[in-house]
Amino acid sequence: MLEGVLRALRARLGEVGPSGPVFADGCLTFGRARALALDPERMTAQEQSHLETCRRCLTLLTSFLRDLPHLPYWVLLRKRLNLLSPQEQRWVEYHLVSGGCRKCRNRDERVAGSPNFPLLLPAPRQLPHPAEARAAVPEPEVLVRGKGENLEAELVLDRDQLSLEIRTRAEALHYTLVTYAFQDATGEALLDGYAVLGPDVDGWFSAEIPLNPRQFREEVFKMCRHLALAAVLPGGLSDEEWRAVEAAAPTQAGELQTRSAWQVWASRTLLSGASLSEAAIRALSHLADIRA
Amino acid sequence: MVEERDCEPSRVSDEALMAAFYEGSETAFQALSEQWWPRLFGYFRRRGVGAEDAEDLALQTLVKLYVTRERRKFDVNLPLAPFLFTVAYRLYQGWLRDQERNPAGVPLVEALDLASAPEDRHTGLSADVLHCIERLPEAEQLYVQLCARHGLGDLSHNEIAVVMEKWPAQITQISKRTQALLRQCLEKKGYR
Repeated sequence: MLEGVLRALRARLGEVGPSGPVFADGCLTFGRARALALDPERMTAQEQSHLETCRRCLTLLTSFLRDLPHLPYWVLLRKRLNLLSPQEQRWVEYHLVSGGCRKCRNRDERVAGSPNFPLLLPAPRQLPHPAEARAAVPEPEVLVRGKGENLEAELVLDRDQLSLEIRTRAEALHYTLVTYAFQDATGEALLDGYAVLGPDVDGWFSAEIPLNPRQFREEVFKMCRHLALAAVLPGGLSDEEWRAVEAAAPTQAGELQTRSAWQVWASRTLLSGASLSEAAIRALSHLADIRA
Repeated sequence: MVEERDCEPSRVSDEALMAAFYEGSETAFQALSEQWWPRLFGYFRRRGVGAEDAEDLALQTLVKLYVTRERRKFDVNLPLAPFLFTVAYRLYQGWLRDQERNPAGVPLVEALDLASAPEDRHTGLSADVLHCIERLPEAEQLYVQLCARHGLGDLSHNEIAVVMEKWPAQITQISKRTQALLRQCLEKKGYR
C-alpha cells in the first residue's frame, strides 16, 4: 500500500513544474549575468530597466555577484612572477583577460606595484608519528627554514606542538600583514592564512602561527611542494580574503601582544589613504577596534 | 576558445554537456539548465518551499554549478545529480534558517495543494502519507525527498549517499528505518 501511494505521489509531483522555462525572451542569460557581475558598468539601460521588474534576472545577477570566485592574492603574485601553473593560467585567462573582471584588474595593478617579492621555501619534512614526537628528546625540530630579502620563516615541531614563525628586521615590514600558503604543484593552497608582524626581542618583528599537526600530516604534507610567504598589499585582497583576514585575527584574552599588533596594523592601514574596498574598510574598522 | 557546439538536450548526457560547457559552450549550459530547472524546482517544492522561492533556489543552484567553471572545480566525468542535490540541500538549509522554521514542520500537503485535489482518488491516504513524512526525523525525511524507489525523488541509493555524505550501506539502513516509521505512523492512523 505504502509503495503504491508513494509511486502515485511521485508521479503527481512530477507534474508540478515551475511557472515557465528558465528564462523568457529578454531575460539575461547565465553568460551575460556573469559578464555583468565581473563588470557592472557593462549594463545597458535596457538591462537596468528589465532588472527592475524581473525577479528571476535579479536573483540570477545577485547570485553571480555573491558566488563568483575572484582570483586569490597568491595567483596575482604568481602571475607577476610568471610562476602560474597551467590551471591558474587558464583561470586568469577566463576571469581576468577574456572575462575582464574589473575588481581583479584593479587588484592586479596594485599587486604589480608591490616592492616585496614572496619568499618560497621548499616542502617541509614529514612530521614524525605523534607517539614518536612525544617520545623524542624535547628539542624543537625545524621542519623547514628559509630566508629571503626581508623575511625569514621556519616551521617548528616542539614535541607535538607545530608552529610557523615568520620574522623580519626590515623596518618597512614592521606591523605588516603577511600571508603564508602551503601550496601543491599547481599553486593551489592546501593550507593558508594571515598574520601581523609585531614587536619581538632584539629588534625583531615576528608572528607565531600555531598549526594543527594532525591536519598538517593528513591534508598538507603529502601534496605540499613549497611554503610561500609574502607581505600583503591591502589593495590586492579580494572581499573573500578580507573575511579570511578578519577571521585570522586573535580573539583570545591571553593574546594581548598579538592583538595589539593587529590593532596597530589595522589603524595604520585605515589612515594610510590607500584605496580600499568596502569589505576592506569594514574588516579594518572592526580589527582596529579590538580591545587590547 | 572552443567553438559553440549544437546540443540536443534529450540526446546528450549531463557529463558531455558539462565537458562542452567547460570548453566554452554557453549553449551546452543552457541545455543543462533547461533539463535541470524542473527537477530542481520539484526538489525544493517537495521540501515545502513556496513556488517563487523554489524558483529562486533552483536558479541559485544552477549558478553555483556555472561558477565551478572559473576554477574547473567539478570533475566533468562524474554524475551531476549528486553535486546538484548536495548544493540544493545546502541552499534549502540556508533558506530554512532564513525562514526561522522548524525542519520537522515542512508543510508538504499545503505546499503541493494535494489535500484539495479532487481528481486524486487516494487524496485522504496521500495526505496522511505526507503528514507521516513530515513527522520523520530530518535524515529520514531527506531520504524520502530524494529516493526514486522508496520516496518522492529521483535519485539512486548511491547518489543519495553522496548528497547525505554517508556510505551506501548507511542509506540502506535509513531506507529500512524510514519504511518502518512510515508504516507505524500509518497504522496509528488506522491503515492496515
